[in-house]
Amino acid sequence: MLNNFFQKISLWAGRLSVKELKNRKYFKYIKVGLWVISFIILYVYIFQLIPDYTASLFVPKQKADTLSEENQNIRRLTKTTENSIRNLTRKFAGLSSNSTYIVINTTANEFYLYRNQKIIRHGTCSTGSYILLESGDEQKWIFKTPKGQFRIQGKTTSPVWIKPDWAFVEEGLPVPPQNHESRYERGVLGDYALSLGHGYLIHGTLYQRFLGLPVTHGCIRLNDEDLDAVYHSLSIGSRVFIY
Amino acid sequence: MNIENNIAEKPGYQRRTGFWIIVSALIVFTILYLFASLAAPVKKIHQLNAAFNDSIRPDLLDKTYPVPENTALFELYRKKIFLESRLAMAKTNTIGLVVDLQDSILDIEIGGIKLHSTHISKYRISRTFGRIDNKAFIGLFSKPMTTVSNSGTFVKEPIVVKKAPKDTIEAAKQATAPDSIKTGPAFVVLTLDYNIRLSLYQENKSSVWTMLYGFIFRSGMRFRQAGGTVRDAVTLRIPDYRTEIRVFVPKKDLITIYRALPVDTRVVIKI
Repeated sequence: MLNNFFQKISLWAGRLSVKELKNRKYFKYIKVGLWVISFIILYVYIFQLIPDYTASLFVPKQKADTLSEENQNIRRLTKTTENSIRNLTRKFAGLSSNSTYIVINTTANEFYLYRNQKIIRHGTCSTGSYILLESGDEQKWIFKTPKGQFRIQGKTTSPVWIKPDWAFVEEGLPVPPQNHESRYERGVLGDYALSLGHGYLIHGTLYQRFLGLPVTHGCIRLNDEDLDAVYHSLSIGSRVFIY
Repeated sequence: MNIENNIAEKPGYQRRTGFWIIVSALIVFTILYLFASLAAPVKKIHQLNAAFNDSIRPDLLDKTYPVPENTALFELYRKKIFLESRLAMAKTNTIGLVVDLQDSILDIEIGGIKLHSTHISKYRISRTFGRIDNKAFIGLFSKPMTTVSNSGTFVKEPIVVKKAPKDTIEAAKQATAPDSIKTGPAFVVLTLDYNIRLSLYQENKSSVWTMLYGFIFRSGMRFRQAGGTVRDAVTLRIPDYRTEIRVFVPKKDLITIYRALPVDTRVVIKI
């Protein structure tokens, strides 16, 4: 019966007559191939689906307690547990502070400014480009925005960018000494900057058309209006969440 | 003698013998494979039932959650352990994943603050979860689980290597406008404690390519699992069954969430 079945499939596939098919050398191989495919379907798909459904046949369901609700012990335990749940909910709500904080989405390049757990402003930003810069002398820099919880460590108006080594390496320029005047660049960070520590800043940008794209060297860039709002909403110690 | 020789020389005799040997071996192998496949979830249920006794301070859990067999109490305990798990995760101060199947929400949190939230359009969980004891359920889900390994169909960090230019002319040639990050279909698998698999799949929004990609991805996992089962069946061992929780979420949110997760992500699950 199976042979007939395989013959029919081969006929349908190849539109050959039975006699022609049996005469051809590859008929044997087609038959073997179809057997192999059947076994694969059986072992990889069907036999792996069955256990999840049949496990319940071999392991009985735990008997539910049939104690009546009238039982004083159960009522006492229920009340205690409900109180615990209320306390835990309150404790959890306490973690979400009523102060102002900012949340930055580095995948979508968006930010959300919160006050009293409500969004008061949201918009686009630019975050790290994930470029790994390799110099000739085996120095490497990875330009990504770190993820996690941070605090504002400093606020500056009219910030001056102190260019690190990679800024020169990236431009194909020789790296100057540490206090050289070419390391100081004015006007590129916008009107304000908020420091997150380890050299990462929230600042403005001249390249407003790239907002919403991952183009920075790790810092977070905002447009002028958003930067103004964020600068005046957050204070030193305010939380910054980056994901 | 002549009769024996005749039998041996009869055309196809050796082929028929070989055929039946192969068929017998296949039948024995199939029985072993089937037995291993069916025994695996039973072994898993017993392993998960032991989770309560394996948990830190089982005596404290016993005291905190008495009479878990009572249905009404158990429902309250489920809410309580979910909150306790989230509080424990908040103390770690790293980004953690919360899978709330009851309210169909998948979100990431840090320090108790919700960073990103998405709706779970559908989910599937292994039936083995319905067979473990209530006590074991509490032991399993009363604390955040840790991710042992993770894999996905798209890169977590899309790093682009750039060689530093030799001069400003070369630097000017290298300058290109950035492109938005595009990814193919998104499927993520996190392996948690007790070999529990948390699969995060993008919703199949009527794209044939997405469905095919998902089928190929799942088939790859099935082949690997089948290979393990074959190995264990042949060596007469019961394989380790992977209980699975599979959730379907929008692709954009799945990419955002997966890229936000640290290596050893803590996961809190509410079934």
